[in-house]
Amino acid sequence: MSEPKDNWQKLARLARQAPKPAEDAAPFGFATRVAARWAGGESPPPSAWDVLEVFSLRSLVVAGALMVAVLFVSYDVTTPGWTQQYTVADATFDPIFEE
Amino acid sequence: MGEQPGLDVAVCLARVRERDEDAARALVEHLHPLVIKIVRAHLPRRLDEEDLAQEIFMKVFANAAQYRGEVPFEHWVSRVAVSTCLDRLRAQKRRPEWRWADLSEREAEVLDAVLHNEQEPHPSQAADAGELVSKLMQTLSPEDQLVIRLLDLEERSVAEIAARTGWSQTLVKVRAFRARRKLRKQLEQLEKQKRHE
Repeated sequence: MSEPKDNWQKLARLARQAPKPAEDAAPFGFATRVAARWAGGESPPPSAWDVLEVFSLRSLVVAGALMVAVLFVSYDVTTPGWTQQYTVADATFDPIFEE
Repeated sequence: MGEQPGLDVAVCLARVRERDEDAARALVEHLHPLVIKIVRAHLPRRLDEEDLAQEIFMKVFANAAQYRGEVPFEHWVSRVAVSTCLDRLRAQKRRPEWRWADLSEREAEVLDAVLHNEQEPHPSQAADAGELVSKLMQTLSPEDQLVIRLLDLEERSVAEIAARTGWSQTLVKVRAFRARRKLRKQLEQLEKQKRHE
């Protein structure tokens, strides 16, 4: 086993022997402060995930609205009537260019 | 531990769900040693441990209704604490890059002993080694820091880490492998810098 040559494991073994900080009881008044904040209706700050979720939902709504707007604006382009007009136009001009 | 003798967590939790402030206070006192231990192990730089502990308790109370009793309450609280710490660590985008010159005299001595002595370094250097390890770990991603701290420093099992983080055992092993490789590379780079000094 190559463990003795592994410098990281050697350092970690030494670090494990470092004195551990005492697992203190809550400082005086801490529990009361937390309980009062909670009872006062204060909510925890949103996590990065929560913020991302909100923005994702908003961007979904915006993307949907944009899609509807684009479809509305380009309605005549996407309808068959538009291509037919150009087919008629092509038919009118083709003989001229062919001459 | 500062635990309250005879505190019935289930009863206390039921009272918290009914917005009983006394029960909330008792629960904070009961869980504080557990939460503060996690906070100290994963505390991001420049963040007050009491503020972070307070944030964790607020999340625990805000989400208490979602606790279904499938795992012991302490495990559930641990997960909340760990994920809050990870969120805070992620918020610190910049990760330092350490050079030999950035190490304190004692940290440099420890590293020198680790890199060049065949024998194990003297236990009197353990505290400095702890400081050095914390410094090196700041270069890792929050997830990698978590895995290395639990696996290599607290000597938890892979199964225990998987239960605490909600990750699969394979993911824990893969993260540990990659994180250790990064740390070894860091040590090699520091050694090279020392040789060029």
